[in-house]
Amino acid sequence: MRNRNPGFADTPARPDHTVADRAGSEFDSLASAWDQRAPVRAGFLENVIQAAHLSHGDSVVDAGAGTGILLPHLARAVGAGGRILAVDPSKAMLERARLRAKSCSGNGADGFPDITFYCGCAECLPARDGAFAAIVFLRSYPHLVDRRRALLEAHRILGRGGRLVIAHPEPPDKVNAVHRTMGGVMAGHILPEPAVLRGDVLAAGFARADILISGEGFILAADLGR
Amino acid sequence: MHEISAAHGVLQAILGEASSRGLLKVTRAEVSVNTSDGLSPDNLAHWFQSMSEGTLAEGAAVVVHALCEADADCPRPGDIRLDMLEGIIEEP
Repeated sequence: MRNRNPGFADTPARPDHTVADRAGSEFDSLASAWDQRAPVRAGFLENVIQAAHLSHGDSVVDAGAGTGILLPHLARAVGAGGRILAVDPSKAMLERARLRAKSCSGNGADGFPDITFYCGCAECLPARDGAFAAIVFLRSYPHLVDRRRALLEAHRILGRGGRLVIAHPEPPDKVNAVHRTMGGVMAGHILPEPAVLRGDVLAAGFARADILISGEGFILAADLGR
Repeated sequence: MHEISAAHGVLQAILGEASSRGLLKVTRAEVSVNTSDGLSPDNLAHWFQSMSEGTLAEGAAVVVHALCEADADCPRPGDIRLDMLEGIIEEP
C-alpha cells in the first residue's frame, strides 16, 4: 500500500509497545496540570528552534511532545510545506498536544504544516531511514526508557546533515531534585550533566555536539555531519 | 602553517559557528589538528587567547587535540576541525 506521508512509515521499524506503555502511563495522570506545573518561557523555545536550524519545508520529530508546547514554534519554523511527527507515549499528553495544534492551526489555516501524532516511544519511531532533517527532545530525555536506543534511533531517521537537539529549561541538578521529590519511577529519571550527555551523543555516531547555555538551562545541539 | 595563522583560522571558525548558534559568549571550544602539521597545541592556544581579545570568544578555554594519521578521525594535513563549541545564548 502506498504511504500517504512520504518519509513516514505506517508502523515503527521495530514496534515496541511494552516500552511505550511503561513510559506513557507515568505521565497520563500529570497531563491536565502539566502546563501550569512546568511552564517554559517562549524565549527558551525560540532558542530551541534556532538550535535545530529548521527551514521551511523541513520534516522534524518532536520526541516526547508532551502537551505540544513546542509545536506552534516548530510549525512556524517548517511552514506549510513542512511536516512534524509528534511522538509521546502518554495518550493524555498527546491528546492535549493535538488540541493545542488544532487551536493554533485554526482548523486548517494556510501556512500550518502537516502534523502526525504518534502515541509511542522515541526508541522506535515510525519513520524511514534518513527521512528527517531534525529531531528535538524538549524536557523528555530523562524519561526515555532506553536512552542509547533512542539516540541510535534518532541517528537512523536523520538525513545527511540532520540535527539532534536535547533541551532543558532547567539545570540538571534542579531537574533531578524535582524527580526525586516526585518519587516512584520518576526518581530514577536522571538528567546527566551536559558534558556527559554530549559524550553519549557522540558515542551514538553524531559527528559534532555543541553545548549552549541559556539563562535557565541548556541546549545540546548535535549534527550528523555531511 | 604556523600557529599564528592556525589560531586565526580557529578564531574565524569559532566566531562563524558562534554566530550561527546565536551565542553571546563562547566559553569553551575543542579543535583537532593533524600532528604532521607540526603545530604546538600550547602555542596555538596562546595565540588564540591573544587574538580573541575583544571578541565574543575572549576568555574561552580552547583545547587542541593533536591527532595522527592512525586516528580514525584525524583531520587532513593543513585542516583544523572545530569539534565542539560551548557558549552562552542568554545571560542567567
